[in-house]
Amino acid sequence: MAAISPMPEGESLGDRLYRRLTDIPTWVLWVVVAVWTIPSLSLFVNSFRNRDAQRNDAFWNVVTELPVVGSGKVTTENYVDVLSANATNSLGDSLVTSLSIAVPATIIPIAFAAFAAYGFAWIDFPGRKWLFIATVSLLAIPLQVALIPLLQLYGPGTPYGGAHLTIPWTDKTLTLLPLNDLAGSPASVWLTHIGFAMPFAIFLLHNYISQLPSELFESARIDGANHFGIFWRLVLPLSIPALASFAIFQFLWTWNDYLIANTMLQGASSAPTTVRIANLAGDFDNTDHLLTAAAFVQAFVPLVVFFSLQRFFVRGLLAGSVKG
Amino acid sequence: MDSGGIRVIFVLGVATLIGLVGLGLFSLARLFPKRPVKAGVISGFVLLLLILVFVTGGVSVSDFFGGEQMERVLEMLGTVLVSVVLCVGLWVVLNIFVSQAEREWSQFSGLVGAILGAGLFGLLRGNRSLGPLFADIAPEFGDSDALILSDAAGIGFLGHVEWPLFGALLFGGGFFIIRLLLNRLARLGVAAVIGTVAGVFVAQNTKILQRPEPDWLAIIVATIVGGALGVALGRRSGRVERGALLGAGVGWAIGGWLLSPFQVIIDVPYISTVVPLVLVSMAFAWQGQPTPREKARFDSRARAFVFLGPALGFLLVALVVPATRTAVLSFQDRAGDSYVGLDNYQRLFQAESSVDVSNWTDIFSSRLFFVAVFLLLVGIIVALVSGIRRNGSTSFEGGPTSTGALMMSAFIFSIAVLSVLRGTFFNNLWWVITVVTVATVVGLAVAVLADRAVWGQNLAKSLIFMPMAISLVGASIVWRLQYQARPAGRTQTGALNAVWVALGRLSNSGPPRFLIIVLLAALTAWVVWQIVQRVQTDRPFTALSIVFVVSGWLLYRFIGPRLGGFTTNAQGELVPETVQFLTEQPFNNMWLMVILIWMQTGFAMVIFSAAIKAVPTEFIEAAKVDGATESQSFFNVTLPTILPTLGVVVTTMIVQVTKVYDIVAVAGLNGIFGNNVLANQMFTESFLTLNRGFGAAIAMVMFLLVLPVMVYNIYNMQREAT
Repeated sequence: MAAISPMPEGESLGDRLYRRLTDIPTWVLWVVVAVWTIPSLSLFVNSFRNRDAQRNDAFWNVVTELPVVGSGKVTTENYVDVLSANATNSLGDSLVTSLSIAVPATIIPIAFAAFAAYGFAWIDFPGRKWLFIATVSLLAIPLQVALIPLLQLYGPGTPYGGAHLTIPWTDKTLTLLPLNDLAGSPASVWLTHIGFAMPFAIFLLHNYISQLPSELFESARIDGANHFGIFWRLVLPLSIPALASFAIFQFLWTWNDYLIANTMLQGASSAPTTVRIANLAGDFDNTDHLLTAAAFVQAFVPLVVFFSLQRFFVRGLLAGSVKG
Repeated sequence: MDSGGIRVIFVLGVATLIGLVGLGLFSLARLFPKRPVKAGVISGFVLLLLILVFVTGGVSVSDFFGGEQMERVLEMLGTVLVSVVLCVGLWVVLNIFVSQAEREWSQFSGLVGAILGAGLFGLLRGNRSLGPLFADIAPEFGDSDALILSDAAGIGFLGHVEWPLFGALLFGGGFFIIRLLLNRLARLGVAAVIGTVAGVFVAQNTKILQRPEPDWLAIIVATIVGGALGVALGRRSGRVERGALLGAGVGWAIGGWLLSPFQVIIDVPYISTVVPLVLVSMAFAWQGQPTPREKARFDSRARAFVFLGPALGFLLVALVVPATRTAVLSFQDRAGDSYVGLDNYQRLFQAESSVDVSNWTDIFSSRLFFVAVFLLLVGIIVALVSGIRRNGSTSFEGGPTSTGALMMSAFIFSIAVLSVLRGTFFNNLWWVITVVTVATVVGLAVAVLADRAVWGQNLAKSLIFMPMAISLVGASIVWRLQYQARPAGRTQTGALNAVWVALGRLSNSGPPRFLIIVLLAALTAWVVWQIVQRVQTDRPFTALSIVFVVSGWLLYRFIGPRLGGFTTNAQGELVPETVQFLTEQPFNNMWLMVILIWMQTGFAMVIFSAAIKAVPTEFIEAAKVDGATESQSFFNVTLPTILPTLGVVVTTMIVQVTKVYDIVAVAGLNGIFGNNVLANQMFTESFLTLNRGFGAAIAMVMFLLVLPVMVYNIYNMQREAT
């Protein structure tokens, strides 16, 4: 080893080792990536092992359990149990429910929020700035704050669901929003999702639409187009990337949501996938080997969407977060 | 289902499958014309899984698309289609007909009338104030009985639609005709006819239990007040007569319906219905065709309303009004009947389940506290030493080491405090502090590291970002698997316990243990020697000192008390011992927080990565010219520049972490092991124990916790807008 000497006379072994230590990028990154991937990998691997294997052996032993060369405990029977139509633990029903919640909750806010974003960006009316700030600041309201009254809104209230307003000093009750029979149906869930998605959607789309060049609109207006024509023919086609970002975000959010679905659909005959697997997770009987397959089926759709359209997802996240 | 039906469904199913796969491949090819490998991998993966499941697994297609399920799928598709088309169509139609206003005012008036009429009658019907118009709800009873019975039997589709349709036709047609007439008197006459017809129908079909007995004093007073208000408001826009008529009509309606008592009488209330409807119709009929300038003004004002209306309407109904109602509910008792003031809040802060400070003296005897104090001293001493060296006098000079030590000390101190103060409130605080800090730091670190990686930068980032796509429920299940603790003597299926038990076995074994001790001793000795060298030549030794602490501690543990999961049983043998990660209090909370950190780090990483890339390169180059090392340029140039982004990330995460519910519900078994959080407590109280006032109070407290974040966001946005 080198003697103690000042730096400029060449690096000692110790110095080089120290530099290796502090120059840590590559291997630490991949250690972190490995740690991050192991849990999901274990889920995927475990979903292909039968009950015996899942209970008694760790997932990295899967190599010894392959069908021909090993003990043959790797099967697809978990998926069969989880997906076939008539099994008691079937997810088929709940996949349909999840889809019937996620699709309206994704498409309808796009329509409404695109209109509102355009209105905020390019239609001048008094109070525009403060209304916009008020709308976007609603982003921070936790879901829980609005949950109880919304459940009351969808019924079964007394005497029926809806928004009832009792007029003071008279004993009369006026029903502002007569809603009937929405309790326990997917409509209650996606209506709620639409309401909660509005602030974020307006914020995201406004960010994008307000940055479109105004010369475009001026030339269109000279040609005689009114606001609606400009919106329909110019703004909408140009904002498709932003709309796609929001759509992906919203789809993932509603597909993966548990709180609202659990609140609105308590005791309903068909629950979305998140509620089903949460209930499955709470059952400590003989079905916990199906949990892995069920969880993977639930995560499959978002993962595919995520991996194919990652660019748009990231763009949605970055909207407004990075200055300049 | 017969064999023919099964065959049809089978074919349909196969066709759908092929169609979906083809569509998927096609869109993937379009999306990645330049990245065929990625497209190929994704589509191959999807195909493989589908084949595995359907073919190998023996799930027949007819099984999956079996009768009832197909029905549900079709029903779902139908609902989706209808709702989507309705919503989009509505706005297209609304905008088109506002555009109409400029050209064909009478058509526009007709449509306005139709909407108003349908709305009014629909509202009345929805209030169950009107009996059926034509449809029979209870055919076995006579017509008059239908006006007594409530709609308990259900009124069906036609029952919902008949009154609004009638209103639409009556008022729509009427307003259309009105606008075509040029003579004011004629217009008023037609309006009177419409109002009378509508009023007569409404009056005759009002439910017997909801017929008012006119309180003439109230009616006259209300009419006069309404009229006066109408005149006052109308004067500002030059429409005095319209205002008077409208105000009087509304006033009469209020006086006749709201202020008059409902009596069980058989008298048909013509007065209370006909007069207001006639007055209001005449108000609409007063003006003829507006001037072009008025039309243009109307168009611009209506446009903003039409564009913003639905979104803001939804916001109001689904967010603002419920939030206000929750605020009101929080001051009420469990059934929501009477007001109890601040009782609910008091209960929240005094209940032991929410705020439990009984063991606060334990803070000062915990190991974490000592570590925090030690790091604080280290930070202060290093700062002092640097200050003395730099300035020659007793002063403090901050630097990465001292700042790092101080921040670590603060973090560990918060853990020490919050692991002793129990209750949902402190748990939430603990969640926020831990998750936000760790996710931000790790996200920042990974962003920096990934930036510098030579190969596989995008892959690494994708893999770390991937957990964001999984639901919180799925993530809880994933980690529950990893935290699994099997009884001693059986193989551990969870990774953490497997490592822990293996470590225990290792540190109790013979030869391997000696080998490890020798290696650790060598490492520690070398590190000590390096540190001594560097102290003498005044070079940084922060990283080395961290290594020294870690290897020294490991050495101590391997020589002495051993490390890992094992214990001595009654027979004196060594047996493995597992850690019950999810049930051992209070640190089971931290193991749950790991789940959220696992998910949120990707979010922080993505945002920081973009922010770091957006730092102007001139700044970094200037720092390099000035001789800064890489870490110096990071801490002194990059970090200050991305401070606004840091603010955004932190505030967003604070809001998301405060709302945590799914993880505790699924992995934490709804908080029965001392890991309850506010969101779960609110859910239990509101929907399981049905104590709505208390639940509302918890929700309001959650809202108050994130209120500073909201204020900060508003402040930032307002600054940007100017």
